[in-house]
Amino acid sequence: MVSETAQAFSRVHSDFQNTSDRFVFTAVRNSFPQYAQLYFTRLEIMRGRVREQALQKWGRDIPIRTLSELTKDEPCIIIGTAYKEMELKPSVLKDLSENLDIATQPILPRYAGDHDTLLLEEETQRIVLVGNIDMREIVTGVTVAIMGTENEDGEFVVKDHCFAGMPPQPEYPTINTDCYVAFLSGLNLGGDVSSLATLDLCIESLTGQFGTAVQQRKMSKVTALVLAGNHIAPVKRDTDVSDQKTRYLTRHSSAGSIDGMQALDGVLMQLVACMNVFLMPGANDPGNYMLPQQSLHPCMLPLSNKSTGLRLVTNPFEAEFNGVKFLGTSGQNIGDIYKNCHIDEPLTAMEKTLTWTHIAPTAPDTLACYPFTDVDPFILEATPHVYFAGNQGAAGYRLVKGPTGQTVLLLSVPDFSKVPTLMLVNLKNLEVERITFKDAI
Amino acid sequence: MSQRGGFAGRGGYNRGNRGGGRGSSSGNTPGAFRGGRGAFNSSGSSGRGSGHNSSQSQSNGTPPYATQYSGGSRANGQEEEEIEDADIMIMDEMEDLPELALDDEINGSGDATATGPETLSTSSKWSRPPLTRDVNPNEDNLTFQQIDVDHYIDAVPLSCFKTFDGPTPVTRLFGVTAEGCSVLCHAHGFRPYFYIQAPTGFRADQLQAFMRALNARLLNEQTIARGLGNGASRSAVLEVNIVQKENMYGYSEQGKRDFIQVKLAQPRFMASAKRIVESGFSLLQNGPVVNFGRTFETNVDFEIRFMIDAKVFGCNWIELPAKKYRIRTSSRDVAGFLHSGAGPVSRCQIEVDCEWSQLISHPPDGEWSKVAPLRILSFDIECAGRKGIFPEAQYDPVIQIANMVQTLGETQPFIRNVFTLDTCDPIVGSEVLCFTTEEELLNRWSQFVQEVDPDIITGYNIQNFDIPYVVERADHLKLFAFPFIGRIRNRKSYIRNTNISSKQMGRRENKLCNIEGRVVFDLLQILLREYKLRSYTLNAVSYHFLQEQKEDVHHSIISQLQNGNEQTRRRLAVYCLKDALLPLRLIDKLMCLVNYMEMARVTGVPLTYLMSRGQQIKVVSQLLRRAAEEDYVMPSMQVEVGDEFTGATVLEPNPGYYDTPIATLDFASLYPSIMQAHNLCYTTLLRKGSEKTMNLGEHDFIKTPTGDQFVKKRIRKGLLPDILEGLLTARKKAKQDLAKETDPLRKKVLDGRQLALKISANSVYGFTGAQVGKLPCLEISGSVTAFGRLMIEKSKAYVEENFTVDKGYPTDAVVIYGDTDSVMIKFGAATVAETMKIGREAAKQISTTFESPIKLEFEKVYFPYLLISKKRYAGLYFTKPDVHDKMDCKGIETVRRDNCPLVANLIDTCLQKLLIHRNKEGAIKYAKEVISDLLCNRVDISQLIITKELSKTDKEYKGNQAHVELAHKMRKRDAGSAPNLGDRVPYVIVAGDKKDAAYKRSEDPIYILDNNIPIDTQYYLENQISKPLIRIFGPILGSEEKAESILLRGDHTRTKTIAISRTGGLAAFVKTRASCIQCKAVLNNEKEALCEHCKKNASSIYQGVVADLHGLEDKFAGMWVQCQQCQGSLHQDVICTNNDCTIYYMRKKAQKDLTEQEKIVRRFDYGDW
Repeated sequence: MVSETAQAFSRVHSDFQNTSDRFVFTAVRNSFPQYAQLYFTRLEIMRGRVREQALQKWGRDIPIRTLSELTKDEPCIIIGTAYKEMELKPSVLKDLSENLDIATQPILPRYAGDHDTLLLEEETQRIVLVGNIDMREIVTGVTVAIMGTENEDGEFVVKDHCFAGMPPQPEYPTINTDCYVAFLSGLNLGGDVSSLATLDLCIESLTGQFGTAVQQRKMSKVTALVLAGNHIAPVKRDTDVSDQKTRYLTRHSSAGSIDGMQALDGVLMQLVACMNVFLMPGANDPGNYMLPQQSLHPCMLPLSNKSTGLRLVTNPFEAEFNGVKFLGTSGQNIGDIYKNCHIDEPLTAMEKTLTWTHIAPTAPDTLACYPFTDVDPFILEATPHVYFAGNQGAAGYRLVKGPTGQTVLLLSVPDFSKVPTLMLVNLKNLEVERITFKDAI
Repeated sequence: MSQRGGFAGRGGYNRGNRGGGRGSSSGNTPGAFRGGRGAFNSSGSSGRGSGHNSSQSQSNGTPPYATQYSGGSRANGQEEEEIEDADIMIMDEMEDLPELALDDEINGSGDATATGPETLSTSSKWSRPPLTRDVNPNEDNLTFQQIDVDHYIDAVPLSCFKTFDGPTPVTRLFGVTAEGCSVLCHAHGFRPYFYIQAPTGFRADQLQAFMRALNARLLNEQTIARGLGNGASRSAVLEVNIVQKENMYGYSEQGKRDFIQVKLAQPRFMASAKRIVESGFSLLQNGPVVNFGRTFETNVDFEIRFMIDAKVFGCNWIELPAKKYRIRTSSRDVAGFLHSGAGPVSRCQIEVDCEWSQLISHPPDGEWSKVAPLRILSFDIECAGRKGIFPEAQYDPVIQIANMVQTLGETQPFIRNVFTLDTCDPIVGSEVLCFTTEEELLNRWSQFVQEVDPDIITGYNIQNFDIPYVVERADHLKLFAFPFIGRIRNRKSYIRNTNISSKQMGRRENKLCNIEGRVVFDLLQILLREYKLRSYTLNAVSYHFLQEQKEDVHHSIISQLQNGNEQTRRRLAVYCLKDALLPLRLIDKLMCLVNYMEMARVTGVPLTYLMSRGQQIKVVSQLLRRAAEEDYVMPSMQVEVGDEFTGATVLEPNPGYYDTPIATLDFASLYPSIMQAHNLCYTTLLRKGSEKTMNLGEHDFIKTPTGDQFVKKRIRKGLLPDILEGLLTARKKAKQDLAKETDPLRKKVLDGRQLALKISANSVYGFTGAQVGKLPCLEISGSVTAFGRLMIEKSKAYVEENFTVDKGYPTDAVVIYGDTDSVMIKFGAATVAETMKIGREAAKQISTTFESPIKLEFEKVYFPYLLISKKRYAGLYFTKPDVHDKMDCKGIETVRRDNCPLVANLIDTCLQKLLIHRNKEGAIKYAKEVISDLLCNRVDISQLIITKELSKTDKEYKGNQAHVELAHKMRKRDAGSAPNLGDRVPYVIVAGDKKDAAYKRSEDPIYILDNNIPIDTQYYLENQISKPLIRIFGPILGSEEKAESILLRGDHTRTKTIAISRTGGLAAFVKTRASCIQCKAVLNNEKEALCEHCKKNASSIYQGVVADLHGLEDKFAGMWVQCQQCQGSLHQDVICTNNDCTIYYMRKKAQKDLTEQEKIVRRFDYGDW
């Protein structure tokens, strides 16, 4: 079904600058040290920022103490890393437990429970937090300032708390014409879920082979497509529940991703001819597991990688389109926050990460990440204009304002195999459009 | 000095404000000691020779030792012998010390011994709650739960309790009131005694002559003469009486006869008295030698004797009626001098004297089954060892002591503190006390113990490490005020070595320390007695019971942490605190303390006996209690080695895989019920042939299957059946109460009670069979097992006769196996429910054919059931018709300790697949996969580690053993980290020269990881996996040959990977060239990943490689995060070296593997794609 008046639209171009360098490993990762240094570095960098906010919020009258300086019943401010002790948190140890009477741990949607304990930890010690702080809204790894007093039992009674807050934001560029960046995630190719028909529809729309002239005109304004992870379906595991071989075998896993990658190559072939496609790896994709995930290897995409339109990027991915700052992930960070607290809405979780000034606080605790030693690339240095997360349950967006005039568009990009929706962000005014595809058949 | 002195105020009672207490006490310690001696010298009136001053002998390093523990048994000259099953022999290795020095020499007045420091009161949190009001002995009854009973020899008895001249024993009961105040009760007037059967023709008027003669003989012995001091009228024998008693061993018609009861002045005269009496002596000078035959009850410990006669049970409640006791107060009325020696000698809050017959002992039932708020101190020390050497008290300082004090019944400790040498950063939730010198630290700790005044001292391996270490260290540093950590103020604690050996635990060298009035409850010792574990390190134990790993800091790192700064020392302190806390948590979780207390109550022995003595003492105590009620006396048996009697045999199993429900019928408490049913006892034993002389008819006695004879109940009811009946009735009651009880602590107590009762009932049989025990009687034990066999056979015959097709049952029932007290029957019913019905019916019918109370009960159904051989089987265990309760495995490698974990996991998974999922093919496939993975080197090293204990020195090992060999090798590499005697040695068999025996190829897992040493996978296949695997698959696949050909000969055994060692051999000369990742072809361009040929498949090859990276990253992250979590800190590096932890080797391997894999993946960076 081609449009009645065959009109030729030329695709808009945009200035693009990839600013994801801090997520790239340029050399072989020669060492895999422990995680302590990462927390140490994070606290070192974040302490100053949190202190500033604390002083602003509570003034200079209340002393800031380290845990070793605490005196009982003296009101003070302490700064450290939050740590949540969760009973339901999966443990490698329990998994390996020889005692097979204990059933293998069920995979829970959420680890956070009602009997968790919240602690604040400094370089050398930790203290239990009680009182006015909602454990349901905070996760392990966040740097926080706490105002309160230590009680008889060696707990810290919280009166108030504060985070580092949203960092400054570069000025928003003036853009006069419509220009869109499109988002898709969770194609889940090669799996059982066949969303191929809707995906075809989507591709045809994007490439202008389908739709009314109005639609085609709009699509011609799409300058770039970001594919935010999980392009292929998760590799099937042996479904036999009692199968415990993975418990102790360091076996060579045979790649179950080959079909999926072939299909992806085909899909990309169609797209890269028309626009810039930014391919981010996700949890299911054949790349490394720890964040930051490195760009997928071109050898797996022998057809499409010949085109200059294909940009293999990292996850998290940060870039500027016409001066508009984008930052986002394939969703692991947000999914993990969901598990670690009682925040249900992805957009709320995303907003939280901005106030925490850290996009992946639960790494390395429950979210695997590389054991960095002198940097923490997940600390927000500047607030982006668009902040997205792929593979979420719904297509959502919200504009949030920061305390110093920051305006951020939060974008939760749905899992396409479940919610077949394409999201367009207009660089001119940050307006969002959701285009949902229905299987014609 | 001014504040203290030998007998300043009373310990623990004076809660007055003593601000400067701390400084003054440590400052004048040596002075205090000297002062103590001075006091002794000036008090010549004490009536004792100066040579016997215990303080001197202590300071000379010849420790006088006595507690209730040694008192009785040694004094009797009777060795505690090894007992047939599961018992403990105590062989004292001490040199022959003068007997006097061996006995307790605490003088009631406290003026002639070394002066212990006074208990200080420095913290309201540390001290016991003060007495709410003074106890008024004229109006108040004093009630307390006693936790320990011992005795001492009172050189100068209090005048009011004085009945004889000379030093006599006084029994001490230490306890706690319901309000939590500590009590010491001196019970006066109880004397040791024994019996002799009066020789025929012995008349009452000969008693005096007998007494004189025996007394004279005893006084001839130097040690006894010395023990009595220089009193005017010295008498070793205090009293002789004729009483009516009966020998409990063997039935006789005569009934009670004349027995001479001989009361002695001191317990340790017993051995000499026994010897003299048994060899016979003449009553008059030059008179004929009278032969008295065997003595009775000379081998009863003094404390047990006291407890039986005073009707005191272990840990029960004691009540002292008003006016019947006197309170000891520090009376300084006579010019600061203690009045008539009646001052307090202990650190208890209340100290009283009473006549032993006046105390009321409440049996632990009903209201009196409660427990007092006992104080439990758990502590752990850290020492700074020298590099490579395990800390030794002469050289290495104590740098930290962590303490946790908890009240029994509470869930959290109320005192948490750590004493550190040098500065240490604060720890939230715990008090940190820093000291600049080790002397201060130790002294302060000693004061802390005195002030906290714990009833129970616990910890992990404190008996053999922590306590001896601090005591010896303090001795080395000449801290004279230190060793007063017991409750007797002037009593020093010192260390003594013993060897304990038993069939159950092997041989162990133990150290003992006297801490009067406090019970040392070493968790390690309890676990060694009660649980069979792969490893007994605190880590392994806490993982096993709490599913929680503990950070393990290797002792070589400890010195580094100590020498760092306040932060590293804080780190160490946190670790130390955790080690002090864990024992408390484990005691709570395992309920050991409550269970032990209940055992003490049920069996009537002091709590400490349960930890230091074997099973026998418990039965002896019960037997004597019952015997005393019926005027039976127990002979002191000579130990004889007799014939082994045949043990419990089982019905020959009919091995196979049963895919039908198998009913299991069990005899409830089989052995106890046999003894009850047939009235088997010492008192009913009828000597062969004597039935004729005694005119007993055929119906008056029974003949057991072994041909032994016992009289029936109506002639005489036996003691043992009576005891058993009591125990089993009490158990029923405890179970009923348990069901009703709601209070969690009381619930625990009741559960501990019913368990203790069950164990006690079962140990009676073992006691009669213990050939080197106190009273073996093989007629009883042999008959019991013979009856047991008979019961099983009768049941089998009954079932197979009555449950047949003819009688309307699905098939002819077949008994496929019978164990000690159970029979497994195939009834042929298709469903579990139906089988249960028939099973119940059968149990009921068969039970009617047995004598009460022997009862066969239907217990469970196995379906399916895999019977391998005698005592080896597995099955799904059903007690309800619908869902199985568990998978039950007996005697199969899933639980054996001497295999590598791979075997246990493999067998367990296979059994799960076979039995739970009924997936035969799956199980075979799985087994094959594991074998293939093993041969391809893909199994994690932690799965291949075999652990064995280095239990003997090299010379003692006869054969060559892998772990001994490895210990040797490691000693050569680094003497410091090499395993020591008693350590468990982990090892892996590595590939090497095949000519070498396997034991020579054992290697340390860490060394293997560090040096990439290839593992001998073939060894694991042949020597570890194959046998158990074939055993379980044999019945399933038809035959073992078939199982072998399928599992061990298939294609999956063909692929092998041989890893190349980085050490030794030609490794140094081999130069590796870059090869294609896929096909190993040598590459032209060294940097590339693939050869030209394989490049076509680059995508799929890369995906395989990257999938491995993906998996390894996942693993690495998971494990290191776990370790971070375990150590309880995010910001500090994990320094744990706990090799009992599954993760330990895996995380190290993951780290290595990941680095390797990253390199491989990165080779794809080169080239054009």
